[in-house]
Amino acid sequence: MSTVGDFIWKKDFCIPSKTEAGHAILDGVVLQLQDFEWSQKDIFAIQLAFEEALVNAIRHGNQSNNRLGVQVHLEISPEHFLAQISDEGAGFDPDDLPDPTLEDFLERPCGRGVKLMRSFMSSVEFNELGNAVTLEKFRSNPLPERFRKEEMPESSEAAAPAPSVTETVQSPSQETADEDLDDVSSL
Amino acid sequence: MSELRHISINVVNDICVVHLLDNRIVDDMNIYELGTELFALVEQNGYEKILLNFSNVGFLSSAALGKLIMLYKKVAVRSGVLKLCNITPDIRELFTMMNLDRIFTICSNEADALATF
Repeated sequence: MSTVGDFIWKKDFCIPSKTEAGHAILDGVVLQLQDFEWSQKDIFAIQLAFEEALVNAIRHGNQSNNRLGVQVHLEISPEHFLAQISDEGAGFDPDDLPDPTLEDFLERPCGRGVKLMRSFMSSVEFNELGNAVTLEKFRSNPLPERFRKEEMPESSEAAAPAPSVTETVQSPSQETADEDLDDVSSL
Repeated sequence: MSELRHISINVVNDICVVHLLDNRIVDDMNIYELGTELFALVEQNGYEKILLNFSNVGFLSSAALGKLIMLYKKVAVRSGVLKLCNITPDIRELFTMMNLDRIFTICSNEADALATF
């Protein structure tokens, strides 16, 4: 399946270790997925995994220390979702977590977030240190015609990508986080 | 009971029917407060039969699941019964994937659930 190359939404953020800041990004992600006509089921799955990854980075990675930042890189297209989330913590070994779906661990609190990510995403990869995670999901419902390259007229105004789709915002420093969040919230 | 912000309750016979009021149960403070309100039903009010109605809930995090599991344990230790109803298909799938449908009794709607206590 071929997607129009211009239909990709890329953003980079550095946010403080507050879940509210993460939720503002998530709101923007949901709006973009809806704009690309992802199914409600896929959007629910992405929300769930992204929320868990952010909370892990903020609470477990950075210990909710506001002086530490969380880096978020996002790439969303009509077919593919990718999020890389990294914190400044010591990291952890995801393979050390117990499987919370096993009978003996059903009522215990640890490992449920990572299990949710793995259950709802196409792939979940941690870096070696365990302080960065990459989430990927591929669209499950058919791609709408307006996103198919072969059916897009070259000079059609209706088929032209929205300006926000191709916008890439770099925000390497924590000082720019509020500006970026405003940008996402307004989408 | 102190003011309830995240649940509303009505008692049918001796069953405490609890409507969860938040559409998204993700915020740390809201989850903490929700847990406090739910646990008080068991620990302070002494309800042993509780039905949680999820009709308003569209999304919840693993931290919220943790509170539900803690509520289940508090009810179970008193030999009580906890049931859930009106859960969206997405959240139902979440429970299934996490194997939590093995500890929670999930009913399709409130009437069905009340009939089976």
